[in-house]
Amino acid sequence: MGVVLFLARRLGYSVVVLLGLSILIFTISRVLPGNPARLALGPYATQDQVASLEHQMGLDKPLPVQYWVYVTGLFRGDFGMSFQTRRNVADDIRHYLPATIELVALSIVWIALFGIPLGSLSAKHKDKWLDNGVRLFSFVGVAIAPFVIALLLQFIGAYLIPIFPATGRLGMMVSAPPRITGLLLIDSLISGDMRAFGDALWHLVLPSFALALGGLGQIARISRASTTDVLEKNYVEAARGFGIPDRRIMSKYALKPSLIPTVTVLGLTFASSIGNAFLIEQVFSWPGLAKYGVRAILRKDFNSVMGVVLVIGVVFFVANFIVDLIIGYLDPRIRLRKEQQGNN
Amino acid sequence: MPRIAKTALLLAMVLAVTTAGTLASNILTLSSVQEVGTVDPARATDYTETISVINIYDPLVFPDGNGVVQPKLAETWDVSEDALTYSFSLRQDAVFHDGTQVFAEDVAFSMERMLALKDGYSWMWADLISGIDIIDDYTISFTLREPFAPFLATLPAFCVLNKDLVVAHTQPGDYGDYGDYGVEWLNTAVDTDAGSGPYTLRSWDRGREIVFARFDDYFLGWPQGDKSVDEAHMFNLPATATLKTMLRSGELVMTDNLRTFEDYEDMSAYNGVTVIPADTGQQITFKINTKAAPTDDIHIRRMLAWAFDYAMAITEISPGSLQSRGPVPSAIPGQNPDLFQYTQDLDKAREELELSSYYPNVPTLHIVMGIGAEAWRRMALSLQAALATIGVNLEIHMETWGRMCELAAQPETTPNLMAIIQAPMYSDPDTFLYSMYHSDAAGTWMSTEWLQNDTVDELITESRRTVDPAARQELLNTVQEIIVDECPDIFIYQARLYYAMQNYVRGFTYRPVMSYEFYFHDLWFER
Repeated sequence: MGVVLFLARRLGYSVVVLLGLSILIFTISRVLPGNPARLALGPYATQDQVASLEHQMGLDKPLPVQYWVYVTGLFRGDFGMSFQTRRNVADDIRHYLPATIELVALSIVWIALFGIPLGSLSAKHKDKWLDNGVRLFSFVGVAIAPFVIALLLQFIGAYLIPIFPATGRLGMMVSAPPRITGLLLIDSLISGDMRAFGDALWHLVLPSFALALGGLGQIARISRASTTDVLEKNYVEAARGFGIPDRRIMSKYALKPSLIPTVTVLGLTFASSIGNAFLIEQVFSWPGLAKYGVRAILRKDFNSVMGVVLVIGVVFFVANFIVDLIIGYLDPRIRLRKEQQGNN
Repeated sequence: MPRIAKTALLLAMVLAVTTAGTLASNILTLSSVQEVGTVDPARATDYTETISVINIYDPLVFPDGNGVVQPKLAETWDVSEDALTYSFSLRQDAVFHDGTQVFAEDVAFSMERMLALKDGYSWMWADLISGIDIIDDYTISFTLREPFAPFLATLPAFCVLNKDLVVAHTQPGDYGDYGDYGVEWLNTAVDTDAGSGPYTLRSWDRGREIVFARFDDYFLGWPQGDKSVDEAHMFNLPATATLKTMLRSGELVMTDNLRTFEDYEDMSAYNGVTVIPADTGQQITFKINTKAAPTDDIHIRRMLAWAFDYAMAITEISPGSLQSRGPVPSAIPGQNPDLFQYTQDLDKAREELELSSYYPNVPTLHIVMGIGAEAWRRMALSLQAALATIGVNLEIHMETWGRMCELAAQPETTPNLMAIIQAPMYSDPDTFLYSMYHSDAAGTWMSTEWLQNDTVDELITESRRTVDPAARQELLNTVQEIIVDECPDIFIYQARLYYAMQNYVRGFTYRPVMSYEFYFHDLWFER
């Protein structure tokens, strides 16, 4: 019951936030210079053509009317028409979002798989060579721009030692599996197309790792700090005093509480990467939502801009909610407090 | 024979049979810097859309390497005495990809559709065509409201669709019996099309690639046989570093022409790669607002033209490019070859400055160009430095394309200079002269000169109406002379563009109309 009320409250807040966000972005996008109809039709379009498209897109109506039409359309799944693709933005989002989700999800896996253990090990061997090495790695990962990492990985992994593909989600000679979710890994597993699965995974390696490296460094640092903090707690000292082995202390007593800040940052990283993956998508010609969004901004395709912003807003909501659930599991005190608040 | 040998032989035979149909076909991979928005020939406007359309669909006529239109779906054509009626006789062996023949009815439908949708290249014929008549199955005529000499030159942009197929896929819409004219179908179709061109739409994964597959029954045949391109994959590759990696590895067969000179210089050193230059019809100009102070003074405009360093532009900015000679590039038939060309001469610039009514208190000049146009910024900096030596101040502003279009809408908001690259939309001087200098075309980024000169207007209008080539050329020569004399632009250079490709690619043909060099039917592989 507590969880249900918690979810309902969160949903309510999110609707308010998304509404406010939509008004802000709607207004800003229409204030930006440039006529989107003119940009879409090309420089030689006649005024008659431009006026016709403006009318078709409802741009000749007052702003509040345009906003009302847009918002009411959202509830019907109509995100408006994209000037650049000439189809409903909802179709574009359905097309491009899975590519970014897949890319970001695998990058989070890398971050969690390597960042958390590296941070824990670093904390365990504090101020020794392993700790110093991890810290150096973290600094480098955070300091170097993701697109530089992407270009380096691509040059090394796809040209110098040509193991990985340079671009795209699938090789040219590999047919895409039947589209169910748009996530190639999932779709190929569902359809039993292991060739496509393997090829899609192979294509994901370089871009996801390039996207992960900065976050990996950050998570390693946070994990190290929180693990160090936990290892200095009295109950850990007591456990050591009872002769409990270090490995058991790390895995049973230190890991769960030290994960709390890490999980929070992972959730935020996931949500923000949906928009920040643009440069990675550009380098690897990855047909994702981030690249679509940047193109929409440059072409003043405001329906697309609105759609992308709202999607990122929803992703933030979902990510934060999942993070809260995980933290509630990791720290029962938080879960019990929330349940008490829900009952009161 | 030992059992294992028999098994091996059998396996080899099976492999030979099963792989025979899948042995390496000629696959062309082509980079682009943007995705394809539509493959509807009535809605395409940009360069990747045009590449897609000209390979899937056929127009009535098609430009050759000199920009002169040649027969395509139309075998022959006649022009009436009064130059108002153009009658086309269609080939009787042309078929659409579904096997049905191309009839005059399809041509009529396609033009009606183009004009009704008011999209794409319809602006070329919107106020021009007053009648479309189907004479018989293979003959169609277009009647114009007034004579328009460039009419044939515009027709490569008009492609023919399969009427029956489109009508069978219409949805409710604003066009009466034709509903939405098949717009939704063509916009969402990813492996079907309504064309007759040398390639079919095999697949279209927006954001990933668009794939064209050879149409074996194409009416022009395949002169190169099994060396012709079987499949063409065009995919979005904006990052030049990635493009170079793929070109070096052989994964990319042909590049676009939108990278820097230095990039193509690098690529020319790659093993197995050839870089082909082409002197194009793209013209780079600094357009001068003739209605804003102080560039409303002809002496200030001539001062700018004398101050510009043309040699630097064609040796450092765009090596190999030709300095422009007036408003029409030499790649377009109809340029006046005797036009005056400026050279950098600061003494003459100073002389013009001193003749100006603004001298000695010349207001600061402003030049605007697109964000990221680094090469042009260098040219502007060079001009700024040159002007500084004669006491004139120039400020450089970088703006988004949307903002530039907004500024260009009014003479009061148009800056003194605007850096623009202009590409020919059809192979006729009219594509430059009318859109840049005629008063009716004012208010777009193409006409920030705001020339509004009655004599120029009359000459351009007359040249559009004059179909006799000799008489027309005389008019064109005169109007180009007047324009150069009025100095509404710094005519800088005609771009030399480069195309990098694997050295087994043959048949590349440059045509001076946007994207028509990417006509895959020209190409074959000589391995």
